[in-house]
Amino acid sequence: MAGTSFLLYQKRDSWLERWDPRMKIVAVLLFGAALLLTHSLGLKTAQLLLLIVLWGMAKLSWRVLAFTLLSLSIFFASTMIYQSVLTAVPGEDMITWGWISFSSQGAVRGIMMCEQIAGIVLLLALLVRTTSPIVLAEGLEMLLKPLKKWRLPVHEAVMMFSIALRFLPILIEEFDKIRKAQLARGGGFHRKGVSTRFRGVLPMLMPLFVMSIIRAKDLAVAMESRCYQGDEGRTPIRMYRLRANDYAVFSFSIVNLAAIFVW
Amino acid sequence: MIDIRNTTFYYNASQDDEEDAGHKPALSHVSLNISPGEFVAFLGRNGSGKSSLSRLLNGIELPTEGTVSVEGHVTSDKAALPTVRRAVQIVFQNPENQQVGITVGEDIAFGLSNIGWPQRDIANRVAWAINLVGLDADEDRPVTNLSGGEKQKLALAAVLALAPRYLILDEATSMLDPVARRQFVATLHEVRKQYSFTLIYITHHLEEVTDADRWILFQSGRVVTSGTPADLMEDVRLLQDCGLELPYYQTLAGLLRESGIAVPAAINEHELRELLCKSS
Amino acid sequence: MQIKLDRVSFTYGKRSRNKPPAGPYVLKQLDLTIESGEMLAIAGKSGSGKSTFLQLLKGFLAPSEGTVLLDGVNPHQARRPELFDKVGFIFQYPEHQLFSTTVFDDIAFGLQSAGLADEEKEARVRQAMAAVQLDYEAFKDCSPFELSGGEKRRVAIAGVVVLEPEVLILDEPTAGLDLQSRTALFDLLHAMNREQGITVMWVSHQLEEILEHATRLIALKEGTFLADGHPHSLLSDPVLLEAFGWEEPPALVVSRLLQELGMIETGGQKALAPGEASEAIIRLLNRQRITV
Repeated sequence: MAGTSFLLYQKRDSWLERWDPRMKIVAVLLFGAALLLTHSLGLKTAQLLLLIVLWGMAKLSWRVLAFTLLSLSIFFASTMIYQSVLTAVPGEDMITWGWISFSSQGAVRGIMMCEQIAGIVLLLALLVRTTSPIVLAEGLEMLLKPLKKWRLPVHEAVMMFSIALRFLPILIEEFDKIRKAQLARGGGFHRKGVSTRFRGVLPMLMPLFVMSIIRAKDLAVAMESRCYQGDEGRTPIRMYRLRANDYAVFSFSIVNLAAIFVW
Repeated sequence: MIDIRNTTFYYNASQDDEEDAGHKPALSHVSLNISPGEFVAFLGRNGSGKSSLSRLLNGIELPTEGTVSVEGHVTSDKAALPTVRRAVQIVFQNPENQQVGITVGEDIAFGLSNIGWPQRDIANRVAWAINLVGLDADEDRPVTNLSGGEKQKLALAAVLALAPRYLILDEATSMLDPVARRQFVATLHEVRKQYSFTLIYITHHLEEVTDADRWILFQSGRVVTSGTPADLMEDVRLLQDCGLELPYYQTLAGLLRESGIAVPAAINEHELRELLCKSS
Repeated sequence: MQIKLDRVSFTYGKRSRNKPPAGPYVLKQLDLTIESGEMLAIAGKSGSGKSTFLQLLKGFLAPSEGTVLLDGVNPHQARRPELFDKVGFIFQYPEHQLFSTTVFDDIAFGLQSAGLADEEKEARVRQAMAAVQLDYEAFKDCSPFELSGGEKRRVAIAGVVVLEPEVLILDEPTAGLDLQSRTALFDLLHAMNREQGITVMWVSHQLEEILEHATRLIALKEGTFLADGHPHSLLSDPVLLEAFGWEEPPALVVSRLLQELGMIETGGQKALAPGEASEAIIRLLNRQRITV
């Protein structure tokens, strides 16, 4: 269940939840750009620390944070090895510990790379976990409104995104159920060799596929029956107004981005 | 009024008539009127056409032949469709597959937003609907946290928020356990006291519709008969053919009446006790 | 096959050495023996631990404390997980798990790893289809997706029966079926129980169904068995009815009334079908008329 709770928004009444969704998305983009563009180890570390502080302010669980970072650990390790051992540029200071020798510049590159990855993951997790999907979708739709002029299906795309989020936990639960059901009638095929197990893939995927189609059809009928007809004549569920708070966040993001050019 | 005239309906109707000859219509030549304020029950086995008909009533599906009209608007008229939809709302069978919102409030607001409800009044209306069905949840509660019975109450709140004049319950209780089912039915009757609408109730459970004005029995896409519950209860064989089982007391009353003992069709424990103890 | 639960507790919380398991118990100290050939109904709301309990019997989960014994052997400890293959498990709406292009292939899915010859495989599928009362020749080449709801469900059940289980567990087997299909399904379960001695355990919310078909009822609430006994006595127990929010089945109410009036023999609980009850009532009224 850890996998599903990672993506899910839960109301915690934190300060971050009250930010305007449009400004939050813009701030995430600006912050992400700053994180990727800085070449200073100090600045990257400071940005990462700031994200961790925000995590605390958002009242999100520290266990989930640890889980998130740990799940990336293999990725971190391989990045470090790649950057400091395998791609050391001749002429860099080599440090030798016992039988390993690595480049110190390479190690710094590796750390920065890891910080970047961790930062982006945390940034997106913060966005998704402090914003209700519908609010996020509405924010995205408002930001992308100009694209409608070119007849891009902005509304439809955003609607699909939010419905996918809504049904993700149900699908995960369903997959677990189907897996167990097929094991129950599989005559113990899961304890046999790889080829027998491989034949068990279709029996899992086919019902999942069929069930998703049934769900999608049911939901489409329910939506249509509740007068849904695209974004024609819809009133927004909420009114969004930018407050001083949001401008402050925006200014900070700009300053943060500008800082990398000054440093 | 809902007016169904000589309606035939095929799923995936093909243009090719020869092909149609082979497959059976979901509904054939159904004619029916439903008056404002009525409480009717559509009864029949799985695949007898009762659910298909409910989908024709708000224009989710259009008749292959014949017409369906709601308060004078024909469902096949594209311009009238939004009016028809608003007037006729459906609560479906599966509690999992009809909520669009992540939270209770968002889900109720979804329909309101679709019909262009004034934005500043949406929050009020959402609160009104939650209160109307007595859902024990604030609007921020995630839908995934609700029990099956609560999800169906939410579905009821979400459609009632649109102020429909006709409400269709399409086996809305069939996936609930008996306790939740009883609560849902009680809620429905409570709501109908405060806010009246025409109720079309589709079910396999006769005990939920004993107080309906009219039962309509479906079999293989046709209306077999329609009449008051008291009249139709006499024909146990026909009910069984339609996959329906009379509740225990009604069956008992039927058997006793056959043997010439005058008991009310809807006898209950108390009345039975009186009958038996009175003379002894 | 005998199934025995010995002080079984279960928690989804992780267990660390020397410490009691963290997290709430889903099941608490369950003791139970199910003998071969029982018709056993299980009742309990969602969240009562019912589904965890069933998964323990099938070996999908291992108890956090206590042991599950199949014919006296603990399959987890003895490292013999194949013992759980003798327990057939049919999930809710099993027709949703069909996937093959023909009914035959779907039913034979469980046999593919058994290394059977084609003739033997055919014989087993024939037998399974006969057990669920589906005509072999008429249905074997059909697509399972073309069948009616009741037929699909029988195909899915055949897919488990083909493995020749000694115990059959069904999670709400009649959900969504109409009267005719429900009756047919229970005829089938009784036949398997009677003729092959298969233990049948099923989850049900329908008290009438339990009363009619079960010889034993287990009621689960908050991870413990609130009651275990014959449905006739349990379903007229006001304390139990209150705890589950149930209403006493009319068959029991009427039977008790007739018992009080001396119209049916006392001693032991009875649940009269409407036909039997009406006969007793008519007899009573006639007698009264005569005495008057």
